[in-house]
Amino acid sequence: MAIPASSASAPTASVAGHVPAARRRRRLDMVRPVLTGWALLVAVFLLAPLIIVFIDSIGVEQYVVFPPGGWSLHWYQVIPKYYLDGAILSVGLAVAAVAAATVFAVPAGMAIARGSLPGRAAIDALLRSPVQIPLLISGVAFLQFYVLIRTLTGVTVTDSFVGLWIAHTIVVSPYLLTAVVARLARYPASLDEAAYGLGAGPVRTFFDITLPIISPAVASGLFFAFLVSFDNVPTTVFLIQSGKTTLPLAIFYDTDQDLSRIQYAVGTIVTVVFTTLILVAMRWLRLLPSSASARRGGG
Amino acid sequence: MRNRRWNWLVIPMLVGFATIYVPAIVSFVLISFHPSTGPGSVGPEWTLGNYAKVLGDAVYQTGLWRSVALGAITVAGSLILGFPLAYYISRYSSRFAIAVFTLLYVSSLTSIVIRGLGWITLLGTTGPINGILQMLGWIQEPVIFYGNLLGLSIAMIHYTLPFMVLTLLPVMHAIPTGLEEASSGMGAGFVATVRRVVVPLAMPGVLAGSLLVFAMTISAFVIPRLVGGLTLRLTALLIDQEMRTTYNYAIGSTLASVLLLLVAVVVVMASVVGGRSRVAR
Repeated sequence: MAIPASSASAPTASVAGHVPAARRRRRLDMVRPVLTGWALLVAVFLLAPLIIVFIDSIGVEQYVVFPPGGWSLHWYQVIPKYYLDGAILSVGLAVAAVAAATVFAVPAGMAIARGSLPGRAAIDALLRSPVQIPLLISGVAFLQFYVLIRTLTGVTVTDSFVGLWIAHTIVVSPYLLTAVVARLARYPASLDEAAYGLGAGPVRTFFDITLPIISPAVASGLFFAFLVSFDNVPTTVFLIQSGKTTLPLAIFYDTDQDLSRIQYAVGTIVTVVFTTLILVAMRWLRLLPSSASARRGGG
Repeated sequence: MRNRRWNWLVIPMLVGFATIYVPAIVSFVLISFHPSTGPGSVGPEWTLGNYAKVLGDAVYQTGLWRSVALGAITVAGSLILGFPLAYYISRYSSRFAIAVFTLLYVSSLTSIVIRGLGWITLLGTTGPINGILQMLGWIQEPVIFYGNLLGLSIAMIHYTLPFMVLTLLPVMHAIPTGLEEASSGMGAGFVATVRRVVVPLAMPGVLAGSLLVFAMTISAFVIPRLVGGLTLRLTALLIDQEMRTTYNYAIGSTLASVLLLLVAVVVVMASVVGGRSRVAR
């Protein structure tokens, strides 16, 4: 992917005469350490909040003071049960949302990449748009929609798993759609057409031919959709007003009201688990999100 | 080779979007045109009063300008940190460059709430940043980072930096190294080469990254809430307050509509820039 450093110091012969080679090399030799130093600085900046969360989690005082006066693993032992409940809800919600998004978005991706849809660009833009809309705005939108439904029909969707499930499914579905469309654009449609021409129906064509080809892209989409759903606070915060909360929302509320080392202990555990998952996904499964714009998550 | 027989596969998702997602977006925009009639309810008559209030009231105006200012500072910061980094990653394939690239991904995928926790301590009055600054003798009194744009923008730069760099990288990779070699071969120094060759050619990436980071920053919620605090009155925080504390759905929806419009304008600008750079290539 990157260009070896040596090629940068080998100018073409026709223009090499203007500057003495030694001076040119010295200048380029200066550039690399300066850039490496800059990258080191940025790396420290990127790592700092994660390292500090760990340091704070093993301090001895209940209230978070820095630097801690002593070290203790006590806070890991007194993590309240609602954090575990929150983790279970978050994983369940993320799995349900990603599964539903897959069922809807993978076929839709097929249609957009392979079909001859009228108004294809508009449909594509609509189905991708949830990733462009801030999570906070999605939260407001679903809250107002659910309130409207309650007013019109008396059915309460707010504060329910179904309400959260619907919102999370829609918010993460573009990750899968984008992955499938991008993958299909890089392999010839003639494979599908051949299977179809030889008598396989659309369903069999999909499962025997298309799915094996798109599965790496789907796996990558699933993974990032899962992370985005798991960590979603700005949408979820509007849809849970009482009762059980998701894990990040529990940390968020406690940080706001009663900052203690317990949140840092939970934060450390989550970070270790997720960093391991991400590194495994990147190194061994070679999962990378398909484009920068599809990665807008967070909040 | 496009074929009609695949078309029906789009129907389930399209129907889901048409019956849930589109009505959800439309519903809060419609509510912004109705007057508030108490907590959690709006009246049936149509009005532009909410917009007059949101655009005319000093509190909401300040919030909007602060959000825009935060966006501008964050764009500048992530560009200053990210441009040299993207150049470094694109030009060197050392183990360290790959490690930094990996770190960018890991950082962008780490829980945002947990990063907020980290910044609360890092930016505290007795935190490591103040500690280092005092140790170096640069400051006597601790710098207050909480509840102002200074501390918040540092945390926001951390949040947006991976997105800036990952947007810049493909553009950097596309700049032929031969151009830089020619430039330095003809006597231009490294700084001149960067300024006259790399920066102009990377401009589409700079614009796209800046617009993306700006849109992310003005609509961010978690970091502003945890690191900035309510006193900052950023638009995103005011929306949350109106929707979940005072239950003024009319004003909350109006603020959300204004923010959505702002983000939409930025996203459209980004796609125009992106489209143009594709054409140029």
